[in-house]
Amino acid sequence: MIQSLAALLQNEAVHEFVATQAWAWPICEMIHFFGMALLMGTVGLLDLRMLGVAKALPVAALERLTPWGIAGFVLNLITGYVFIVGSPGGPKDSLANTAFQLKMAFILLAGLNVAAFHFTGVSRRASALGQGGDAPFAAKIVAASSLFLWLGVIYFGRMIMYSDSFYVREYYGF
Amino acid sequence: MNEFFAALEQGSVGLWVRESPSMFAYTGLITVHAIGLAFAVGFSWAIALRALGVARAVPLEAMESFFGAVWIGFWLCAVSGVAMAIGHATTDLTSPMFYIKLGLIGMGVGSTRMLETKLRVGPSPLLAGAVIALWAGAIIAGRLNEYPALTGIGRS
Repeated sequence: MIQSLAALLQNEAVHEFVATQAWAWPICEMIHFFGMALLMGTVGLLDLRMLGVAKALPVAALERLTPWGIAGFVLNLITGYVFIVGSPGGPKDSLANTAFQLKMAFILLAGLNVAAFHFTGVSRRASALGQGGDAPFAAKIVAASSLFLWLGVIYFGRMIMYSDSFYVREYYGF
Repeated sequence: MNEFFAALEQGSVGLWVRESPSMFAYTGLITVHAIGLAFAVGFSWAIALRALGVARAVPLEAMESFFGAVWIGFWLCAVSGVAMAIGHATTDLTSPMFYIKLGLIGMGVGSTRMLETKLRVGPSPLLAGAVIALWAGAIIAGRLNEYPALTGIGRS
């Protein structure tokens, strides 16, 4: 499974570029942080509003900031792909890394959380919230899950480079 | 001075930060630093974008409540950052890039605080732009601090 996925993701040109251009990796890291801040800054605001912070804000208005969060996510998809493919040992470095696998699982769960938000109609009820409106309980569950999942994504993302260290394996089994 | 940094690094706090297997030591600190960054920079940027005219339907003055989350994020970064700097005192505290990062953070904090106080009267686009640029600069300097060989602005 990991081998075939690694073969699928493999890109010699990108791998070569990262291996020979010393600036490529740190610049992608900077962009990855920018993307993270854009995503958390906009989606996090919406989550906090639904959880009861800044109730004076109509939810539909705050949703206008969401495209910036999506842009941040796309930046991180692109730079994340560069990290996966540009790793010295190629894609299998990341794919075989437990912290990376957990990060991807949390991103998938965050995506399912958004899908559930939209397809159950909860998002329509949330968008209708005007100034001072209290979000329905289901929307609060979605918002709390969103915050938890994205913070988990950050946590496992940071753990990727420590997965190989002895004590992380010894204590957490990553 | 270098002896002081070495003593700091080899002291109990410095050793704990670098070598303790606790999840609250190094791996916890870098996680808290990233989460703090996401909150402090992310929410500051969102508010600054609104001040620049993005999503005009959002009443700007009502965004004031989010500054609480900005400052919680900032303090998470500050506390974890001080702990990590103690753990790497001989390299971080002798690196010019580290002080460039601190300078940008200082100006980032100042401009964000100004944005907060001027939110009700309408902050200038220049101020909102400064908030975005200064935090971006702090992230860039923070990353560059890890690559002294690239920049030639070294850690000893």
